[in-house]
Amino acid sequence: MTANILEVKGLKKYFPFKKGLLGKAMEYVRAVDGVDFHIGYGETLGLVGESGCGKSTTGRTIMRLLEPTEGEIFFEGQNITRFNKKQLRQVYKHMQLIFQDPFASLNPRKAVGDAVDEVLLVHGMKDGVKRRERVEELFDMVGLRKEDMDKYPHEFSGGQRQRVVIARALAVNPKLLICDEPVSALDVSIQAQIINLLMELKERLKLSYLFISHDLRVVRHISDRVAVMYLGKIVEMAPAEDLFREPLHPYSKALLSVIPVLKPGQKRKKLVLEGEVPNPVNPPTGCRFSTRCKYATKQCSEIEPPIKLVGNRHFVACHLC
Amino acid sequence: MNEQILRINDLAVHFYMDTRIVPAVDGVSFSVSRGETLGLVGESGCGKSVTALSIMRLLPSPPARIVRGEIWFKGENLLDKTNEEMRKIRGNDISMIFQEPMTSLNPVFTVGYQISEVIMQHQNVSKKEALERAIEMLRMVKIPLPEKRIKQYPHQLSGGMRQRVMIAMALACNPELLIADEPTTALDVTIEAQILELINELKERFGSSVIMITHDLGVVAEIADKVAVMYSGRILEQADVHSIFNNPKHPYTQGLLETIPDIDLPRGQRLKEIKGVVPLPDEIKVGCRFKSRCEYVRAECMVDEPPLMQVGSSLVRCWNYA
Repeated sequence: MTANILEVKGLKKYFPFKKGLLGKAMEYVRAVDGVDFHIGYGETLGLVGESGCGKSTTGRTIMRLLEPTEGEIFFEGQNITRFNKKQLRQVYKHMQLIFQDPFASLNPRKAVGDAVDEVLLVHGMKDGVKRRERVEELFDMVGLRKEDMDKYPHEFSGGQRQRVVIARALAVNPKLLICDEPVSALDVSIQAQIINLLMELKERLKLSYLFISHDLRVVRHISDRVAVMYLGKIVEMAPAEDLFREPLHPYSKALLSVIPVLKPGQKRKKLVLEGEVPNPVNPPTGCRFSTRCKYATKQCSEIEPPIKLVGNRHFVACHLC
Repeated sequence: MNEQILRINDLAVHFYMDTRIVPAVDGVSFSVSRGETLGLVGESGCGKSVTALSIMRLLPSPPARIVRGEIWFKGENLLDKTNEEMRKIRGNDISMIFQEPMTSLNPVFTVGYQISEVIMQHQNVSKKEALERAIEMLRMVKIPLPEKRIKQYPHQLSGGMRQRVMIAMALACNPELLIADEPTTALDVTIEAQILELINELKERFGSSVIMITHDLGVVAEIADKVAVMYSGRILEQADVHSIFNNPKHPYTQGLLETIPDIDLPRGQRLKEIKGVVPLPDEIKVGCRFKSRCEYVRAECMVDEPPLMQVGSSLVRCWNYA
């Protein structure tokens, strides 16, 4: 038995981009390009980065909704990388995914209670009365009323819909939840409710989370450790407190410096990055951040920096750190 | 100098739907002085975008109708203007930037054509001069190689670039008022920082006034001089930016600020919540609009809606200050 609920080794996901003669793929979008990390039991790992950095693709590949191009995924010590559908169904009893958009992830023609009920049925709970009881229990757990079970998704607000989605994910008693931007589509006053709910459930049900978000404030709040992704790679990974107090990678430094603070007039020094994220079809050679990094040397544009340990559980992929 | 460039008095916009009337904006008043930035904050459905579109007179009518109020821009009521007169004002005196830079550019025309079109519409210049001015504008919003970019189509540009093009287009005729409706919401944080910096720079350079509409209080703290907090079609609190952040008075403003896990706060603690859900604009008929979600609700909140009262330097709509 390992101490980690999830281990990801050398994970890559390439999407074919341009087809050549005979329909053979010629170029690839390297969405995820060699990612290693683990999540311990009861731990929350935050995965941050800007759009297109590969954070959502990482989550979906771990769920095997996308086939990994290379690399291995271990769930509770079991290599699930080559599991077939039947085997995966067993894994999904313990690992579930919550999407960003609570509007798109519920069937509009199905009462929300039935949407949760269906999950239980699929996973072999045959007794209808028991299922009903379980759905009631789940609704109670996520702060919805029993009467809500017979309503349809359009009768709910965004925050309540996200509660239904969470109830559905919890139906099978999972140990690991992959949350892909779970609060990004919600209003500010509702975000806090869902964040609190997720943190409460984690304690109560001893859950582990992979928390994917572009909202750095939220990630800092909820995560034990945080990994920063840039162009398909993890550039820095550290305990949340350490990372936000003293980011080491130039990209993390820039990213964290531009979080707007709620103090007018307080001029923090911002490291505003020039330019934009390069195309993941032809990522820069050497360090991927070298084209935008003001400390970049010749070495940086030639040799890709390996990710190395620099402090207490603090990893950085930079030649200069 | 404290010259008011825009003054809105008691604006009310109702949407006439099949079965009901939705009061999206219900008696909103505020002013913007020259060179000043007003942050208009609120959650979805609070009426902030409808307010902005009313100033531009861009609301689809029907279903929308401005039922009450005045919008004074440089001494003239915009609501009395004909469509023809408004066309001369839009893009020239008042410009607007929208949230979605992907959908607000025309995909079948080049970027250069779209910017020069605005310039030719409002100024008596030749096509060649307009294109030169377009290049100059793109350079000003820091788009590299503007000579090349003007020949490109929107799909060839990234999201951040497109938003820069929108800003270039909005500023092409040196407008006195710029309305920015969630201009950075669709963008990544590093690009957001670039765009906010740009808006601030341009504001200083041209002395334009800005109305910044956003749900992100962090953006407001960075850019606004004064702030109006909207909720369910009304302004609940209005004050200068320092009072809003350091001494918020309305329970809703206080709640909004406390729900955000600011990076200076200890992490992992339970966040303060505002209970309940954001109401629909036609949901609340009597009393204070925030009463069902308010921690400090009192008997009178149920019956009468509080007026906007002067408390210190702030205007607050709450019976707890009466």
